[in-house]
Amino acid sequence: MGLSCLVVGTLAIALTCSAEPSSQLAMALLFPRIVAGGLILSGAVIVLRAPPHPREGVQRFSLWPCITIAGSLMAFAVLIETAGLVLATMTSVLVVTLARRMLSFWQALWFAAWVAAFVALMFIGVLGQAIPLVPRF
Amino acid sequence: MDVLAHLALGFSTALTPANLGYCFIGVCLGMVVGVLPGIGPVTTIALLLPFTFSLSATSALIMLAGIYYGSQYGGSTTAILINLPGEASATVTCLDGHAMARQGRAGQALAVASVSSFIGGTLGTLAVAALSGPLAALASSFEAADYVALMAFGLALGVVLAQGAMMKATAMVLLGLLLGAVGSPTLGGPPRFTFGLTSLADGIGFVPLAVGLFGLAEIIDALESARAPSVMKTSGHVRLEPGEAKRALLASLRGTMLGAALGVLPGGGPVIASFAAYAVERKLLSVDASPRYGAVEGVAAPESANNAAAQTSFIPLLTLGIPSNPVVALLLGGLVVHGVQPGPEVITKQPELFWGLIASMWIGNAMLLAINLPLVGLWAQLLRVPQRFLLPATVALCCIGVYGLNHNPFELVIAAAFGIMGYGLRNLGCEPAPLLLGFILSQPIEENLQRALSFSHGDPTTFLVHPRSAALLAISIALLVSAAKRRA
Repeated sequence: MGLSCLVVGTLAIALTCSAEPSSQLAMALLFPRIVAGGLILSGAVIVLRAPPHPREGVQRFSLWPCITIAGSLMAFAVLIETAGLVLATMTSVLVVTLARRMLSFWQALWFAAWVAAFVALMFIGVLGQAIPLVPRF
Repeated sequence: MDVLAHLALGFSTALTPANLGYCFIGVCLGMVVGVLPGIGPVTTIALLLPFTFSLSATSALIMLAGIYYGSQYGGSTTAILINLPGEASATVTCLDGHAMARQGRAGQALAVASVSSFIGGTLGTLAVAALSGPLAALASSFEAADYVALMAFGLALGVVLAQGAMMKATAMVLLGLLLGAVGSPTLGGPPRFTFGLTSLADGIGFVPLAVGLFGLAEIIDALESARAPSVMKTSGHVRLEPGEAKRALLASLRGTMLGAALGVLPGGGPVIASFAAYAVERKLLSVDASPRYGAVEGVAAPESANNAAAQTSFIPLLTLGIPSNPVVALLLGGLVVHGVQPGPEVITKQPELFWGLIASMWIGNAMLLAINLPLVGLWAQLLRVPQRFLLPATVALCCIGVYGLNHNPFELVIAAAFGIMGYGLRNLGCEPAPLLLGFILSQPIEENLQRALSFSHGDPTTFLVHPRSAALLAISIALLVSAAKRRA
């Protein structure tokens, strides 16, 4: 945690230092520099106070749920403007069900279709959002 | 007299069929959220914020506020029935509330919680109506330096009151401030930290950040670990023993006063209010009484305190534009998205919004009491909603909610990144709430900092010359130092 703060703070300082100096720029960069300085300071304190065994108090990081959730959002982002809301939502739901053995494939497909129908009705039918419902050919 | 006239205006706004409907939807959703452990009002408001964009600012705020105070009602149900607080502010209700349930008095405990919540909510609303005007008048005399100091005070309280290590909370606040600085500054200047991406030129969106840090992180956490609480049977008997009603009423009034006062403080809120109220009741109870013996005071005081605090936490939001806790910070973000700049001018320039919200709080509290008592058994059934259906559906709603805001697929990438970051932060023992507080306050702090320095020709001692800002900064430093000493 402390190391991450040190890295982010240093990176922020480095990025703000590379800009051309001018009075307007100096004002615009003042706040991020103050905050980045504070972040470096707090990161240093966290590192110095860290226990001898750094894994203490840190929980296991499960990668698979992160991958499936990120994958689900990416799939939606890629498909929404080309394949439409129904297919994007169904794919998104199906990808999430891969995170844990929640549902059988047919159950997941049935449930995904149900969720897609609900969001289509809610967002396009009721809220009138201008989102394509089906693929654009 | 003015207050009465304003309240009449508020009721005429809140009693329109549409606003009544949104208030009802909000309090019902809040109840559901409060009953379900793990899904808090922050997550729900973050998830539902995009749904409100097609509504007017007043209707949206009425619905979102309903979720907030509705969740304070619902949170006590699981605390009493299964010793699992649906909401952090209901944690202390577990102690005596669950003890009452084990004694076969679950119905009475739930009834005390509902009525106390109603008392706290109603009197808290009165406090909002009475105190907002004078506070807004005081806020009008604030200068840029005072605002910077006030926001620094709010951030300091956010750090002090956060769970876990103080240094980590400080780092979270600073990280939030830095994330809020991404993009072009409002007072002019080139975009910062955009890495050449035009999508970041306007900064990081509040909705993708909030949905990611709270909603998606919560889902990743739930996917990793399954929680299966066992529900105990509740008796429908709600009548109290002779004398208990009076004791519960007095405890409710004490809790309301404490909660209303603590809710106003930046960094305060329902959680601290409920703990403080419970601590007071423990001191007042007879010495031979165990804190877990099932006293009605132990349920009434924290429940009235957390509801009163939920109401009065709107005072700093609406009069100073300062969020007192993460939920209110989300509401602040929602208001800004709706084009409303919270601050002292809200009361004068948008009286329908301000007084409509206050009137809706009253109506919402009455609705909650009416639906809470008969539907106690039904709320408990919500605990049985299978996660295998709940989680994928929630992710789909997150996707459409984030995308629907600007129709920009890149915001989904940002939400996914913050989801993983939020999960990582939880695993490292860092609370994401201070980060959100920092993110929300980043822009106003920078704006006022630049103004204050411009007025003083770049002299940083301007913050020490103004008596109000100097006092606020001194208090902030004293708070941080004393908290650090206590935790060391």
